[in-house]
Amino acid sequence: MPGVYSGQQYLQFYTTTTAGTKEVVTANAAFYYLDASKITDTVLLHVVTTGSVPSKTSYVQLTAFTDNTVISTYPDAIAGVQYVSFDDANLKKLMKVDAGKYEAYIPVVLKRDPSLKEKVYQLRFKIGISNDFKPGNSNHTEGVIYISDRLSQPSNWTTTFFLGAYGLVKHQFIIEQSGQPWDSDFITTLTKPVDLNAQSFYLFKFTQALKTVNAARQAAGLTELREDPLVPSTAVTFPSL
Amino acid sequence: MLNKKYNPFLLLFAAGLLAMVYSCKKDDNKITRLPDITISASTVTEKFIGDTLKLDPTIGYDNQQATFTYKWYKTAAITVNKTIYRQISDKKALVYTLDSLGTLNLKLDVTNTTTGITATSKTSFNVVSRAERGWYVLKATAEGNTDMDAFYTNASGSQITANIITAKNGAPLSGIPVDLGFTGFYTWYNPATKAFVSTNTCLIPVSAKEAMAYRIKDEKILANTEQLFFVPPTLATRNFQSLVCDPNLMTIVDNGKVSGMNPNANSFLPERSGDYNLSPYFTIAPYKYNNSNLGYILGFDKTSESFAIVRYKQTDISYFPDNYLAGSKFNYPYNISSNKMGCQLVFMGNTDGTLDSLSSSNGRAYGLLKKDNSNDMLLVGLNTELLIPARYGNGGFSPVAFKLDLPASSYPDLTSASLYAINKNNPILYFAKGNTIGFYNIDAKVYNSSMYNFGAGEEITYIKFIDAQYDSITANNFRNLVVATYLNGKYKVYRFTVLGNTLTQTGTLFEGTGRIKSLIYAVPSGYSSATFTSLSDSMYRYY
Repeated sequence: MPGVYSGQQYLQFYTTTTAGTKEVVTANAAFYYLDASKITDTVLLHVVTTGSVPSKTSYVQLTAFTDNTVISTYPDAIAGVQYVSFDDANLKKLMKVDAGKYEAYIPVVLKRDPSLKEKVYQLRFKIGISNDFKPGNSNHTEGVIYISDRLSQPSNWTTTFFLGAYGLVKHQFIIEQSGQPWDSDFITTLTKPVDLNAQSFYLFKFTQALKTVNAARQAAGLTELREDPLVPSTAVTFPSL
Repeated sequence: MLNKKYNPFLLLFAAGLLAMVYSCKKDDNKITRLPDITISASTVTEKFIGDTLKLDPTIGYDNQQATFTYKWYKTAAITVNKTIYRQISDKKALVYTLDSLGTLNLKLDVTNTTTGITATSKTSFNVVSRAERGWYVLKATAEGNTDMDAFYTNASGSQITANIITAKNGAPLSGIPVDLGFTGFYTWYNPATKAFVSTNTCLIPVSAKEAMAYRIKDEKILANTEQLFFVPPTLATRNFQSLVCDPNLMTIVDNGKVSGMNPNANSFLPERSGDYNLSPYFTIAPYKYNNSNLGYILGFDKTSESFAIVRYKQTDISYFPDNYLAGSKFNYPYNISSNKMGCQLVFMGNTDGTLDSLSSSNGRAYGLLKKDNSNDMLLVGLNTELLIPARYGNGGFSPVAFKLDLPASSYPDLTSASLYAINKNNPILYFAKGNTIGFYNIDAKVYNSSMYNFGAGEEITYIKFIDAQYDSITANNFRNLVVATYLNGKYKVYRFTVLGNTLTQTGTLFEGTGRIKSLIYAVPSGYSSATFTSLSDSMYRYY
């Protein structure tokens, strides 16, 4: 009869990447797209056990940290302000892997603090040592959540993005014109895999709409749509069709 | 020195072997040989995709009784090191529908169930498209919907396949037929692999309510109306009126509004903005090898009664300013505006030749317009060189380079005709009325209202001069005036060679049921060579 490992339990984030590649679990929490009455939002982190399947309910410890190895444009989120502390007694009860299960979804609760309207905050965390788990493969034990309550440049709106350079006014414009959120998740549907057909559609649609809007603005004695109304060089534009 | 000690197991094995050999001997000391399993050769010549292959080889066993099992395999993959087979039947007689193009390798294993001995037979042959070369006709059915017939020209000679859309789609396209286009660049989203497949050679049949992309080589519908539009037009009000297949811009007009599809895309973009209502007549300039003229479609806006241009990479349509070429570039400075013409377009088509004085020019079209509140007509010559940004700037001058009044009193049959066509090599306008074809030679100003008459009751429903120089089998190329007629629920397609004022019927008469709206002579997609220009690049010949 084959033996069953029953020693130390390890925990890591679920991954589909190649072994040996470090992956930081990344999520975006944008209160901007939520109803104004909603004051919290929850991100669920998919974790898997390694080593053994828990024979009893096993609790997970997450630890926030500052990563000094990367230069970030975003300040670190503050426990109790932009997110519920990982040490919150009620939350800790939910941060668990049930007996007999090899995976679970661990909640991270984010708070709609007024500061999120001014800046995007980052919450960097890693799986810590708890009474039940030790961190598993170190390539898959870290994560980051970007928290905001304002439009912000999605992480995958890169310099080569098919709609051109990023701008808040442009971002707002395409959301209004398409009814789509244009957040990281939506952009991923157009870029992974690359859907040139959909990209052509949106580029055409926004170019056409911008022309109409600018004509109306001009008729009303306004400038063309700009990121900064006082700076002509910030006019909203899209790449050529 | 040899070891004299014998292994007892080795001795036992040798004794057993000896006993086996002895047991196989008859009394006359001859060994009984098992018969060979013979499989009659399955010789298959080239087959068409979609055909059902039936093979029933004869199995021989030296006239002895035996029971066999059968396994038919097809090649699933061939690598450097091995061939991977996939079993397709366990019956002696193979019945198999050929579902992919290319070489098909078949293997048959016949196994004697008693002895376990297997004999193998292999055969291979090519599966080819029956449909890539031939005539496709778009027709109205008796119920007023749209279907398509084909008259294939292939290794098996001419074959007719009727009602292709119904056969492949389960129903005809709803609504009356509008047009039949061709593209070599349709990009198909394959839902099975969740990947885009580029450069599919497709016919695009269009009815008033529907359109589809039909891949010719394997006779497969790649996209229906919903898939051909990112945002499909509302069905209740949908009224497709024309299709233009420029290699760089496919356009479709719905209720006068035009939508374009980029090459290598798979759906039409939103309709272009503006207060316009395009007529269903368009033309494009002759193909140039540097592709400089692709993506510029000349049309006519019924609202402003002006010629308009639908350019690729734009979100609206454009008009020509009232600027006029003159001087050394232009022999005939007519100074004719292409705007607010006081007429509506009833026909437009291009022909070889030039309306300017540049020796390298080639490209002119003629538009026939009916004057408002009158039966009189106006014929205008259009310099299609002016569509090309690289030539004269980006549509910076009026394209109208010629104007001729055609009073109904002088040209009664021309001005009241129902269909028009233009000779693609010379500026000769053909017109059809009832069962009669007439012509007007624009340069010579020769008018003939009855150059050819069909039988009584045969109504001409289609007329086009097709200059097909795009077949890689150059012997197939032709310059014919092609005419379809309708009588008592049936159509006939006639082809004529044109010599002076004489039409001489040539080739096989195509016949079928329905009423023809449009047709196309299709050939396998390919790149242009020194001896022919590809069909994709020759599509201007149809406009």
